[in-house]
Amino acid sequence: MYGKHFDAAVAIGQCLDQLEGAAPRLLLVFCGGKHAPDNVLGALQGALGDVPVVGGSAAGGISREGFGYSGLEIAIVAFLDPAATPAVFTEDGLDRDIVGAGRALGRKVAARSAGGEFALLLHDSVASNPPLVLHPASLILKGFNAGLGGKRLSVAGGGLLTDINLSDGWVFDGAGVRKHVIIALLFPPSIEAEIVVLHGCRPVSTFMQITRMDGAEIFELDGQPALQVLEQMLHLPMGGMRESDISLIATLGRKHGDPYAPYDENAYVNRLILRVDRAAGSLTLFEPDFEAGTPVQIMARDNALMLESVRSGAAAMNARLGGTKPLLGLYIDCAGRASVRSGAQEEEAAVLVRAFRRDVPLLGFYSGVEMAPMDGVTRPLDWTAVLAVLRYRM
Amino acid sequence: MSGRESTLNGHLERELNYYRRECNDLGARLLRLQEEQSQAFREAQRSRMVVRLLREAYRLGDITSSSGDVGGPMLETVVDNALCDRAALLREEPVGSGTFLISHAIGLPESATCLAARIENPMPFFYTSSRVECVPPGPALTQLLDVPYVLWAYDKASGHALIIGNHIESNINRPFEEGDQEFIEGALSVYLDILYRKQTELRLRQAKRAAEEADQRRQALVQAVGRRFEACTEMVSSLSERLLGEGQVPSGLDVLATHSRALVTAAEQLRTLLDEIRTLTEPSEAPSALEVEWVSAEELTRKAARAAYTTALKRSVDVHIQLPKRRIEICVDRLRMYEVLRHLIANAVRISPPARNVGVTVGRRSDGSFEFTVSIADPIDHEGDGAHGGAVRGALGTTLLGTREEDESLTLARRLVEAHGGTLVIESRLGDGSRTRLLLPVSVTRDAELTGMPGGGSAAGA
Repeated sequence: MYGKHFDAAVAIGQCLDQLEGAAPRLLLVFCGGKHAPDNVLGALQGALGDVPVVGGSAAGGISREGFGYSGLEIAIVAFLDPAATPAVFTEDGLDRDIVGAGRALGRKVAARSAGGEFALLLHDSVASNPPLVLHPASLILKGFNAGLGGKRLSVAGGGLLTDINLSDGWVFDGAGVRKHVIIALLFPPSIEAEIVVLHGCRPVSTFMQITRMDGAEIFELDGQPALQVLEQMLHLPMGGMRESDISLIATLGRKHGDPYAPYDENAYVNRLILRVDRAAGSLTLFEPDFEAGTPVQIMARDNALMLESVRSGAAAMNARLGGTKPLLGLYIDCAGRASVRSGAQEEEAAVLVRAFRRDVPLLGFYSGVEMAPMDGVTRPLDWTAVLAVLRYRM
Repeated sequence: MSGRESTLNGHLERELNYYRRECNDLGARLLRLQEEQSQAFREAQRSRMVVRLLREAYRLGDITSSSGDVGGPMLETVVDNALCDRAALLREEPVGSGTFLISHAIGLPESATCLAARIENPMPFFYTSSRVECVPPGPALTQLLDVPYVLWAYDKASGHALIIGNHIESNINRPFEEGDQEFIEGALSVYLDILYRKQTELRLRQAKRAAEEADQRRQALVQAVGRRFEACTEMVSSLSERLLGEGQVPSGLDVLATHSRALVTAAEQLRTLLDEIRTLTEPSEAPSALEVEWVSAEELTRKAARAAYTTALKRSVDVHIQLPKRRIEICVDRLRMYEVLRHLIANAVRISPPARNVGVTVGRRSDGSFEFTVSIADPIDHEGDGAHGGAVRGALGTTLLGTREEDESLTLARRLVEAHGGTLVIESRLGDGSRTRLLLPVSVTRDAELTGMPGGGSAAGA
């Protein structure tokens, strides 16, 4: 269900009109950052009573009825059938011990899981701003995977933002609105997920090796100051530019598998550059999951590739779904892919809505980070879109 | 390693380095081209922003039903196009004062929307940016939205303003600049156009309704008058026939005198009816187009009360005015509404018993509509319930015990009030006094700034 209005109550009303009187057991809500979350919760509870609400802020919403990122959008999934309604687990303390919080959540999920289910993870991407401090998804996943204790799940997820400018983020945790929280929706064993990751970056440099790094900050590439290396390779005065432009221009990508295999977008995990430090000659990435010795390439966003990836990815998903009747297509779309940010001549969300099967309910949100399986391990991804389609197991 | 192998390795190394260089060079160019293309598209999107905004905003005029419905959707359209963090529409209260109230806002906490902002010397266009020094009224404007970068437009004539703001000047936002004047002023201009259009539509509907009701009353009056006219002519005719039909001189002068008196009375009634018809059907009596503007109800009331001061003093009548704490403004034809209020107060003073009070109350009802009330205790009956006055009162449906001339003025006052979309209600009960209530709809009523003092006053002391 999708609504958009300057008045949260009206936007909620637009969504609930589509419910046609049904009584949901759980609501998954993505709410534009210009709406006061308490107003949204109040409107939902006023209309539906004490139904649990999970989800949180989103830079924008995506549906067949419309999409946008003005901050006034509201996108809702209403779970009606108990056989399809996920169990909800929450863990706070991302601001205190992010790995520990991930681990604790992983343990809670593992205790309930039989193994093989699909889980959706959501957390507030922004710890604080200004200055911008993120909750790195890689650390959450590090803890979460450890907490699962070897139990194998199919996991996807996203980081919640109030807007594309990364101003803030917050979470509906089932009881209210909070920050520094991660929630896990563990779907019943009868539900499985088909997941496809859509990319949009291609390498524009040879391989370089990270020779010195601390956390998310890269000091050296090939033994030289990282910022200087990037400036020289790109013939751009990186230090003179605004920080935000840097992430518009280049990312660093790590190729998995055979480094000299032909280009395959699915082989890359890309990391946006969060900031540069001219004095230190360093670059700080969005995530601290690269390490010294990692070979990386400079990656450039390619809008044509991004749109083509959506078309081909949607087609591949349609083929995989075959004649089955899926329950829901959930689209976790990096906010940077919106055309106002990417400069693409067409909204890639519009391409997906056209290309994906029309008979499958589709709902998405613009996220700060996406999480999806890659090489059997759930990883945080940048500049991607994750399409997770839920259906009953065959 | 042999010399040959070493030479080969050296050659391969050189070749590899060559391809590396070329690859990096090509990659850098590709990246630059990609960025230039994206930048060009983003700039093109921005340049289309004004056109898109105007097109979407003007559509609101067809969708929204009243002037009160325009602000929110207009602001949503602005936010949709500008992708700003915060936006607000403001109105200056009163116009020219430099005090602004937020009428609509997006992205602002609710508590911030209740505060009045003081903007000294508001300019028609202003912006703040990291690239220019922040001079007044920059600090006041940034404080209003609580963001460092704002874009502002202000229409001095109407007192309306539009402001948008951002937390940062990067990512999807860029610094505001002179070139943004077209966007912000265009948006405000469209908003005002639609606002005035809706207000005009409302006045037209009100005028149409008033005209239809007046027409209905006119028809009812003409029919009533016609019936009485018929009755009078019947009386004249039957008396005349009686005189002629007897075919002889009446038996006594007293009988003749009686019949003559009855004829004279009937003729008087006919003349009265004819005067009435003339009064109520002459086109010049219908109010011409109203020239409405927002005026202070307090100011009008006091002025109208002062006009009745001399009469009040002569009759030792104290006019006590009760005004609300929060000043009220009404959108009316200043001159005509003054005349209405003046007539109502003056009439009340005239018919009030001497040394008694006339109460004048101004306020807003619970539904937000405007109410002006004049109350008197046990008004004086000027002419008694005679045939002459009774006939007129019956036709007009009033119960106010005044002169025929006063009743005609009251009729005119009622028409003027109804032309404003309002209602004039007269209530009178023997022993309980009389009350005249002038009601105006909420659409022509608004609060002005707080007076800080309870309203009140007396015409005798004014």
